[in-house]
Amino acid sequence: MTSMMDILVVLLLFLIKSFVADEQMNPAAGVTLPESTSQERPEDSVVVAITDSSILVGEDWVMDLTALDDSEEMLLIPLADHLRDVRSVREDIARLQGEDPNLGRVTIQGDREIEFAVLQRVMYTIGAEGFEEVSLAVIRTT
Amino acid sequence: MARRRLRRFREIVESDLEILPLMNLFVVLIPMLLLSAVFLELSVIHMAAPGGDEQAEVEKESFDLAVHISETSWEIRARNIETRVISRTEAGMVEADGSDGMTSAIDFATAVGRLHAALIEIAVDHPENKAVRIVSQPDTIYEDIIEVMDASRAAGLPEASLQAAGQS
Repeated sequence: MTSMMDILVVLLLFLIKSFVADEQMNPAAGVTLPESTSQERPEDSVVVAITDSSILVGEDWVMDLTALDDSEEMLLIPLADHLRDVRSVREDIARLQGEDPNLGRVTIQGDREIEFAVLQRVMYTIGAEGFEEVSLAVIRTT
Repeated sequence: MARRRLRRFREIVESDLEILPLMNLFVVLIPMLLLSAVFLELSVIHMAAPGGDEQAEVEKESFDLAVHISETSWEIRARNIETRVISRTEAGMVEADGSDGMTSAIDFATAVGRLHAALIEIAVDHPENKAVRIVSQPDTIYEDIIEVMDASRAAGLPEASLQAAGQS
């Protein structure tokens, strides 16, 4: 019994040390973020995740990256439609709560192996939908 | 009399600690903390959304510092300075030659260090400039872009913007 208590105490101390009270952003499933020395904390925003095979908004699948091969178009229409819907929902919630939901901010969680051509189209679409600020999510290194 | 006291003392000392309530508390606390624990610390790099014509206008009039990323090199270009080409092939070439990964990692770190040093030199010569354009090929890997952004920020050029090669 005493040895189990010892294990639990050590575990508890470790977990208390890594406990963060703020709301944290977690990487989307299937995304391996690049590492960076940036120390800026993520803020509340719409999250667009780019895995090696698809694009997601929040946890919702939006489109496959294979669809990009067939088109030269910079604007990604499924993503633009989805961003418009998310923006509308956030505006409604903010109106009801009387808060500023930071409507103009998007955080891109891009897999470290994606090509610039994909990132460029996603950023172009975000800009075309009227979002003013874009943040690139990274894993913080010291 | 003395023997009876000793026996009572032993009865008191030998009783077990009541740790079951503490165990119950731990069993509740540990799952709660596990759920809220952060094992990967995320941070962000802020940028302006693309599409602003004003930004392009400012760049045309100013120093217009740009780092062009290609498969084999970084090219630092700006108005009124000589173009500098920094090789980044050591990493890939060493691995292609069959040498060990440790050597390639050191070579790559050295290459990034050279880029960093060159950007610091330019930043010191032009302290009014805080912006840098990172010009990438369509197949440039996202991680390589972040690497250049880190080197620029560390050199005192925090305002990075992305651009595709061939765009004016």
